[in-house]
Amino acid sequence: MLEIRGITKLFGGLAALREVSALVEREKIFGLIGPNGAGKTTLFNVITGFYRPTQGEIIYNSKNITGLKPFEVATIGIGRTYQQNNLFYEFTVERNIFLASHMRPKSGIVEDLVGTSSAKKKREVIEHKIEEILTLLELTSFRNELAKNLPHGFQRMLGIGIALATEPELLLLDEPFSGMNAAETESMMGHIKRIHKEKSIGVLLVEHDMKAVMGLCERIIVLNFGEKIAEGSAEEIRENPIVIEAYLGVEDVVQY
Amino acid sequence: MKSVPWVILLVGIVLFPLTGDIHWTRVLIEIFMWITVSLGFRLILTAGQINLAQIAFMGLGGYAVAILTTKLGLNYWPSLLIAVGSTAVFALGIGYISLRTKGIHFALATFAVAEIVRLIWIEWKSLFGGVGGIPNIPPPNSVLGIQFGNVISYYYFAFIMVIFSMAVMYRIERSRFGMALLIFEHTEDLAQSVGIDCFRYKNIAFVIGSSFAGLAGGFFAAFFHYVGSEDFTIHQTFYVLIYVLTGGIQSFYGTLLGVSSLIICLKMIHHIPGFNPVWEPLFLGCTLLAVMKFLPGGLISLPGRLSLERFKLDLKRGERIAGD
Repeated sequence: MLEIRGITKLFGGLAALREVSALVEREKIFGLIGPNGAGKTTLFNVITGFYRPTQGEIIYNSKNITGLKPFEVATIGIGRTYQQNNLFYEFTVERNIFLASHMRPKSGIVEDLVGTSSAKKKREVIEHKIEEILTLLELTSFRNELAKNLPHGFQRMLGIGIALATEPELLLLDEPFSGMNAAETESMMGHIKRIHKEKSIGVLLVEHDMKAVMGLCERIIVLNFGEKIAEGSAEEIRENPIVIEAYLGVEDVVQY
Repeated sequence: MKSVPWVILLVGIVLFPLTGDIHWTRVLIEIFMWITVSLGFRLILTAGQINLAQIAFMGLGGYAVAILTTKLGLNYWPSLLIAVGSTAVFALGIGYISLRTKGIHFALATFAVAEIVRLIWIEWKSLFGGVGGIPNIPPPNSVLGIQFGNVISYYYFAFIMVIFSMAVMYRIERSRFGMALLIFEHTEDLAQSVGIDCFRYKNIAFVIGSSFAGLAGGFFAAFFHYVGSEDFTIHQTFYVLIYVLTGGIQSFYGTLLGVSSLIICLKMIHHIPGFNPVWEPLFLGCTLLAVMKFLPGGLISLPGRLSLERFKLDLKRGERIAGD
């Protein structure tokens, strides 16, 4: 569903990404790994329109989406989360999902200001959606809590809830397990699996927690210094000598 | 029963001119006018953008009415409509350029716009009348048998204007559009990621807010029968900024509170013997400092703050009892 075609991104003279190509399918959970500074987040930012690639194209459902603005990328069905928690902090959990539902269903500004019956119906649809997402992510008991007061693990979860509220077909998750303990990671893995299976949403995730990546991802893309050095199933990647070399911390990879 | 005091207040305001107190009727008219300007100012402020050209937009509305009625001999009401429309179009152009910037950059860009517009009024003498401005603006034509001449007619004109502005703000505050504006200041990236076209929304908010200034400016021209560049200087924008911040920006009710209380205070200061015009900005400056320091949420947050303090006090007392 998402095709990355020869993406190069230069910052000044520095190549953050060099001719990276990959194909992400809806049927599998995709992992994007690589040492710090490999260009993983840069690639996310290129896909979601925050950066314009120096070269190359992003094709989504056989449509060229290179150079679309971030909000347009969201509109065509690509949702994302951020490496650092990025929430509507001053608002309640419920309101976070409400705000994130802005374009689905979308109401025109005039219709919304006047408060027509169709605008009211859309509000009801959103109410349902809020319930569904909060239940799915087990956030119902926090619904009236301000986002800034949530514990870290639930903030990460709410980040995914916000992305889900945009009703994506493809979800880009930037380090969903960062700062989580083993139990939280376990529960987050379960959630991601469920989102992928039940809602049949494609998933591409960046992650450093190898255990989680190996346990979750059916296909893994490895970046190093902006270049794609390998792609394959978890087993293939685990045994790939180039990947092991790139990670220097050889044990990390071998261990799992 | 909670609404009873509000109904009494509303009836009081509606019937106030019947007391025959010309001075305070005029004060209330001014309050209505500045509420309209300030509500517009607050709208784009909720998106985190300080529009220092608000007063220039008010002036544009005023000058447009002045030129259309005195030079082209147009009827007041269509002139007012054209004035608001042209302010909106001008704001659209300015917003389209300047809303790409944020924070202090946007404030400075709009400040520059305000100064440029003001200088054009002064220098382009044949059209805008230079320093002397445009005098002898005729009163509005009568509508529905109401003649414009005495203060009372202007009072109800201003009253309808302010009710209209409040109704628009009330709807915006409850709309998804209005709620989305609130997230732009700190989380614009995330807003984009959930599919909100922040730039477009800010432009719409900017145009609506500026049109309010244009409307109030059009009223100004009719009420004072005169517009001049001295009436629309950057000082007035800062007055508006202080009204809005003093009232509190979480809700547009804060703006009503801020504008009314401060303008009433200013008018009372005028009655102090030995009054010097310098006292006005001095008073407003001190008010702003005090509000920032002691009540960052503005007057509108006062009830909440008081109950919080009482709660803390109760908590302390409870501890003491528990300690005994």
